[in-house]
Amino acid sequence: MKFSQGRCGFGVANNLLWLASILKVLLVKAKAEISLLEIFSLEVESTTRNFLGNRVCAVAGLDRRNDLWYDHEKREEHSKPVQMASGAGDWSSSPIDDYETLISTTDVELLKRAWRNEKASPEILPFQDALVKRAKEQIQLMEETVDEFEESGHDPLIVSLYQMDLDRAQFLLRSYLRVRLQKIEKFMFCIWKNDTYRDRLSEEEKSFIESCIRVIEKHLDETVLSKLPENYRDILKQSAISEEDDMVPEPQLDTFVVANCKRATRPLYLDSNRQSAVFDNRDDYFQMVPGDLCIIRYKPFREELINGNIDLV
Amino acid sequence: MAGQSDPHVSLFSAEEVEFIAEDEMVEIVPNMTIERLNFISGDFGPFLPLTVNQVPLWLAVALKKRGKCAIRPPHWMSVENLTKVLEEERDSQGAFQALPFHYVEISRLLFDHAREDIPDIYLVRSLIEDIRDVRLHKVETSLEKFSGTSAVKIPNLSAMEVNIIRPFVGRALQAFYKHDNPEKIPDIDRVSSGQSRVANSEPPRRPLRR
Repeated sequence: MKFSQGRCGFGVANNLLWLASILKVLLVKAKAEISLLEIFSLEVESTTRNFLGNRVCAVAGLDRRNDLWYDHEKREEHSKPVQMASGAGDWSSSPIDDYETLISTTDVELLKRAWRNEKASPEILPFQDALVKRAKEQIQLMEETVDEFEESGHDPLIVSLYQMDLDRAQFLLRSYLRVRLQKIEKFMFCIWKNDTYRDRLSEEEKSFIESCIRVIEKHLDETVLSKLPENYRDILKQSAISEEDDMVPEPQLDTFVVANCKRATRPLYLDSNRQSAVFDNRDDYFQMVPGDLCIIRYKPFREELINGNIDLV
Repeated sequence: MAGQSDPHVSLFSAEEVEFIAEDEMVEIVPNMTIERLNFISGDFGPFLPLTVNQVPLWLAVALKKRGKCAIRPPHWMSVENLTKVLEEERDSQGAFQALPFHYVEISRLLFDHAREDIPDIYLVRSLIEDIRDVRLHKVETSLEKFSGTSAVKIPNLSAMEVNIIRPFVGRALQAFYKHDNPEKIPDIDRVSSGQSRVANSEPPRRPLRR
């Protein structure tokens, strides 16, 4: 165990105590009314963690971000250069900036961003796997630290401050997972049959959605569908003559969201007939530059969101 | 359920907007020594009496509640600056003046918890209220001129103002868009009735026109 390295300075060989606290955490979590997912995903794994892991992971996460960035650029080369005509090259920053922002950003900040985006976007976004894992580890470590502080008779003021910090991080993580679960419950059939959406789920969410679909299907079948005429028994189709699944709720991608621009977006051609924006109607292309706050239709900007050029607020 | 707001009323509840604002940094002057705090959200301190420290607002408020520090009001909260902003806000009809994104929440928290740290608190408070009213009025009048589009720039609008107009503007724009492109959006009524049948926790969505 590398706890001795931890900056909170707690003892090295508290194996037993540590196990006990994990058990306690498990127990409390199981008792509290929490989603299936959280129980599934409570991992008790490596024993070597320290606070520095945070920064290391942030840098490790950087490579992935860069890959994404390069992918994006490559794709851009293949696509029509028409869109690039106005102000090419201007619309994004270098990977160096990414690095700068990443090392100066804490996981809480990243989690907050993920939470806001997830809350505001109509469709399900890619699961922030590494981030959630890091956040969980840090929260668990902080829980242990706070317990230790309480036992060792630390200044109650300090303990309560640490507890507040912990509560804030926990709230963000829980709310993030719950917002996703809400979306999954709402659009489960749509997500399940669409590969892109399905790949955005974590393993736990996948098993959740499977059992959820099973239960709903069984329930609807038993209560209603089996009593309907034969042609109307499908759970996804209105009747047997429907060619496609026309009873599957899909996310409404034409909803409007409020977005804050972090890196300049590609100039986007929005619609042909109506282009006038109230505050800004210069030309047919619409481009967001850093610092811009806009109300936008979600659909044309979904890639910009996933690429991290804009944040929803 | 960890403070989950009902997503159908408004995307973010007022509490959630305040939660976000509590991460903004403010300056405090502690009156006691506190060792360095290694939080998940970052490292702060060490705090020494009478030295200025940058901390997030929630920490400042927590320390202030226990009487361990004085909060320095941010520069934009000075009477001179606010008077200037209010004048410019009244003069320019279309545009909004630059204020911190969370100015409403920050000033509210400081008024509630750090009254004695703000010089001329009554003046400052009424100035901020006036600014807020002028801006909200401006938002309302510009909404009257609204037309269908896919993107609207709203420079300098604050978090609270965005949150207030979001449900209305979002639906209005969606309705505009729907009427402009009748073929693109499936009939909302049909979708929502299908939805209320499959996911029965969902109340049928109100049709956009009304």
